[in-house]
Amino acid sequence: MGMKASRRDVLRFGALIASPAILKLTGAGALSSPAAAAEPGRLRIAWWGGTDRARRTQAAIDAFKLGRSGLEIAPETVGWDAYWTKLATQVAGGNAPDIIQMDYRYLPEYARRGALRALDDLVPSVIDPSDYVPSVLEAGKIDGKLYGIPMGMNSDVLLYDKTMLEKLGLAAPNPEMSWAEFATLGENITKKANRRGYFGSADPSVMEPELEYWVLTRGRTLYDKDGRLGFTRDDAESWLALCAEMRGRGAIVPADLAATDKITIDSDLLTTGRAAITFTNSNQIVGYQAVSKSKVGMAFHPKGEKPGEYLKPSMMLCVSATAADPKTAAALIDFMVLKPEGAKLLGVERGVSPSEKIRALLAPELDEGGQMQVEHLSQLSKRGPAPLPPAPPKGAAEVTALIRQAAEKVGFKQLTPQQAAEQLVSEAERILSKA
Amino acid sequence: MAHSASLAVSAPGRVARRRWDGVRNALPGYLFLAPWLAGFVLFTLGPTLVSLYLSFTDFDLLRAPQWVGAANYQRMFSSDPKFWASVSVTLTYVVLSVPLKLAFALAVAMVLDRGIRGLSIYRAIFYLPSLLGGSVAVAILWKQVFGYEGLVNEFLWFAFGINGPSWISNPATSLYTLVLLSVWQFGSPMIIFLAGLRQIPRDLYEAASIDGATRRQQLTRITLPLLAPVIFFNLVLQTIEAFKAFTPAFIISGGTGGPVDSTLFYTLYLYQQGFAYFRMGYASALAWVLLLTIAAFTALTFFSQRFWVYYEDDQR
Repeated sequence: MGMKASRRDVLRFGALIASPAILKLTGAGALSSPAAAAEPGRLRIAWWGGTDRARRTQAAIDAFKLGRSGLEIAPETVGWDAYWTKLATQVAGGNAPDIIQMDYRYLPEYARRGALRALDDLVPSVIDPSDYVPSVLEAGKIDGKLYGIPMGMNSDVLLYDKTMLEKLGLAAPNPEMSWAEFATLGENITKKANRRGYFGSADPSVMEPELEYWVLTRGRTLYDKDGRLGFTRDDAESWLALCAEMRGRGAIVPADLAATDKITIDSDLLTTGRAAITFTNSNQIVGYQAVSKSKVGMAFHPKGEKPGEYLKPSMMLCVSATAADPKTAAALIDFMVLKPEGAKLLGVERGVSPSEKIRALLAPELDEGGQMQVEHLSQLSKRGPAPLPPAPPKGAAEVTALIRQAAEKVGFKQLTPQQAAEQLVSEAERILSKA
Repeated sequence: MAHSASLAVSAPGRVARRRWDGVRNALPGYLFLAPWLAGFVLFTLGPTLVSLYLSFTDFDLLRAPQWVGAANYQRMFSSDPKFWASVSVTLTYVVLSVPLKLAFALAVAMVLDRGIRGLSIYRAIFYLPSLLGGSVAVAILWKQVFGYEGLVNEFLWFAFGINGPSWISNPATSLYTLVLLSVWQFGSPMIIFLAGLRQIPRDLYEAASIDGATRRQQLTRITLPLLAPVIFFNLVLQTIEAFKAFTPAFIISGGTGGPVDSTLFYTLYLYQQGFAYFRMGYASALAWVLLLTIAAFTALTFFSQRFWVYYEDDQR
């Protein structure tokens, strides 16, 4: 009897567990109801980045705490990939950090889902970004409300091994260089260096920002305002064909080397000593120079018909919608980006300040990498940058993977540029329509 | 009479009492089991069932899950080429790595079984890769060995003047380097084989050699049939392991499964969907399909037992 009853109990228990109502409770309910995790007197701030950034940010936090006894600030920092997984989980669990370092590509998603607090009521009383470059401040707005305070500006650039080019007796890339001249330069580096496994340039076709540069110079964008694909098969095909030609001439690395480039500073082919030229964001020069034995130089991309480089908000600071003390959180943001003391501690490691006042303040103290950034961005402003493209839609991370895959399929000669471009565009459209 | 009557009366009571005794005897067992049971229900069974629910939803972590019925499963089988790419990579990996690994483990076990001196040292050395096997460090080491300037290419260059490709970043070879990595971790099946070999009575071999059986005949007529239960055990375990492989591909491809999806293991694709693209519903559906596939393969292996596995007490 007892045995029988207990077996039935187990079944009943199992049915209870399996019933959708309970599952909704345990799954959906627990995951979506934001519990009040924030407590006053204690702020949590989260950012992605390396050790140098962590050191600088901690110094700024400590300086901010000085005048405020009883305030506790807990830092949370991880690498880029892990950051977004962790942040999404925290927001879902109602346990978001009070201050969130945000990227332009994720800002709309978080703002529109109500995870962030609009800062308009705290401007200019707590944060005053009135001397910001207007287009950069605009990037922090979603649907007319200000959610993100940009910390710095950067731009997509070309980095090159200055020491190597001097050794080979080749001229550095100049701002008026065409793609044909770039290809010749790459070819010359490969030939003159004449080293097993050493080539002129990294393969730009595996990098999403470089396809973006290409389509911008053709007057298009990766994505339009409504989150649809903004470029055509023809744009992609011409780009893949150009890179295939450069690969064939030995101007850029072969496909199996390009495949080792995981788009991080550590695996970049300039860092690993496989290529003399690479493509990245201007603020990254600090990181590249730190791990390179050679002098690293900065240059513009080969010129296109229209401008393809633009001033990007390199990263922003946001306040969580669940922050218990948004005013203090905003004050910390202000301290880091707009108060001389905090801004000096952070330097230009996160990009050049969009605030004129802070730029002027930091100018005399900049090291070489910092000066190069400031110089490059001011030249870009004079040349006329491209307008800031719309933020990438949901599903863009998958499209980035598709872009790389299309480049690899051409690189390993599995598809022609035309076939790969066709596949890329149709797959990307399918993903964006479902996202 | 009186005796049998009293027996008839007390029988149900005695049965009930015996049952109660059974429960009472088992109680301490359950009590000792309780911490594990609580952990199992809370951290394994609960999340597993929640993931079953989530597999029927659209869930991006930020918004509450939306019920979408079987849409995730439909999408998987009808309009997701990457799903099929990952299935093909995983099946290739399982079909190649499991038999190779088992054969290699058995071969090494048989050599060690001959009773060479310092057996325990060899055993420890051969087992070492298994201990390190799934670790991040070994995946990184592998990257160095089969990379552009890795050990393999340096050897090819100095020995033959051949300029080898980067084996791990070439779609034609990358998966095979991972198969090799798996075969290299033959330690744990080897230890089990070794134990199995020790169980085979020596006099069988003696009798066979007196009867004029060759070494080959001894292998196919004595060793393999008597080892079948152990082979079966290793086969089931290693197949499940191979389906679940994740770390090497994740580390070596930098989480992309590249180049050109050549190392896109099913588990890696599942991870990408869940944690890179935040499609938790779809990732949950993928996880359930994996669970069912592993269960089906295991059931199939168990079913196949009757054709090739003989136990000593078998009457067949």
